[in-house]
Amino acid sequence: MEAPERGKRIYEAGGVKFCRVLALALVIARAGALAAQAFPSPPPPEPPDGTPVPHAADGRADLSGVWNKGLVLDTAGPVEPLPFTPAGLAAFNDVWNHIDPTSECIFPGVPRVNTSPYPMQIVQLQDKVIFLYEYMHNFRVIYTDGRTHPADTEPSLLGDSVGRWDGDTLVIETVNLTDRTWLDDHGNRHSDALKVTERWRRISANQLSYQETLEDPKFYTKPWTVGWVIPLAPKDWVVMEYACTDNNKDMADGHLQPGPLDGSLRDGSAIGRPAPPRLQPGSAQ
Amino acid sequence: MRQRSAVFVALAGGLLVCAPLRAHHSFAAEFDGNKPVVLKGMVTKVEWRNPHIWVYLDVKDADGAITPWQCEGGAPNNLTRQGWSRETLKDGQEITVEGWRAKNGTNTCNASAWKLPSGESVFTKPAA
Repeated sequence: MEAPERGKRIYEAGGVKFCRVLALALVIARAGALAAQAFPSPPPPEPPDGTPVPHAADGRADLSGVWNKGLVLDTAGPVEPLPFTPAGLAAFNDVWNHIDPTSECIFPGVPRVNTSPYPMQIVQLQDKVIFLYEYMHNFRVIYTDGRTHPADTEPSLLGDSVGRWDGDTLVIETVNLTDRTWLDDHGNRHSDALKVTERWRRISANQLSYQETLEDPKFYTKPWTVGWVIPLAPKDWVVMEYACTDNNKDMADGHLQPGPLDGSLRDGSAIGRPAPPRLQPGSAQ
Repeated sequence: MRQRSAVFVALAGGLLVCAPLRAHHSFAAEFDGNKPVVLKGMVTKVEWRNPHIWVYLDVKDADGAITPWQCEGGAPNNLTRQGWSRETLKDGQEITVEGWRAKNGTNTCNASAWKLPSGESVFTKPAA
């Protein structure tokens, strides 16, 4: 396989599959060795490894810890083709006319904050669970004290989240999201009608099960759910500084171009027909 | 052990071919996977800052003319966790960079491999 050809050849169906399998194999082969994890689509289900789940003082399973969350490029991979409404399909194809918001340091939003690169730390308290994300220094304070969504607030990138415990599973419901964020590097989209339900459960000392259910009647005719397991980070890992604008030459020097970040992987594979041609630099956005 | 290493090398080599899969920050949009480049030059500056490191180098051609290049590398936090640091590459050091050119035609590259004159690779695997 020669590198120069890969732009055209690798992304043919077989090539994509090969790369996905290869990337996954590599991730598995190097489990724990590499800081960065990247998954073309959600990693396969994983059984608990049998190590005991730690418990907090109140007896609940404790989600606290630094978790080695990895980048998932196409979060909807396992449930494609997605059940688009006409507006949803139009938005999906319109990605070619826009720069990925995260490339311009806009927060990834919910749920993309959970599938962006770099680790996160969870701090579980009796009445709230705090998520500290390295990527873009996002944080979320999820109250589990029975409160409900406030009325009449302005939609935001991270939306409004409330939590509750379903046994040892933390269930977070998020609404009031703007439509300015994307769902992932693949350029999957959502409208401002999106409701996200996350289910977080520690299945062993080393494994955190994550599941997201997306309901967005403007863009999709029915909800879908994907999920996977996130490994505990090595003991000496802490959440580090990540300032998106610190030295973002790609943005500052105007190198950014429209289209999904995972590029050619997108070509027609999800919707069964070719994506529109990419616009020339400077003619879009 | 040797067998495992061989498998690792084969997989890692394969993944280079699939580099855009690993790259988060707009590789596909900015860089041209059909334009590989190999640059041999002298490091003039290293920026170990988020979101990605940048290495600047002076590349000398056969006539002795010098062309400055800039190459984008990995995320500094990931590299730090793998044992690399700002001190890994020193100013004035000779290095060979393999990567892909920017689509906009400037002397900008996205690096897939960094090799010291000794043949040692840096930044692309955990530090020894």
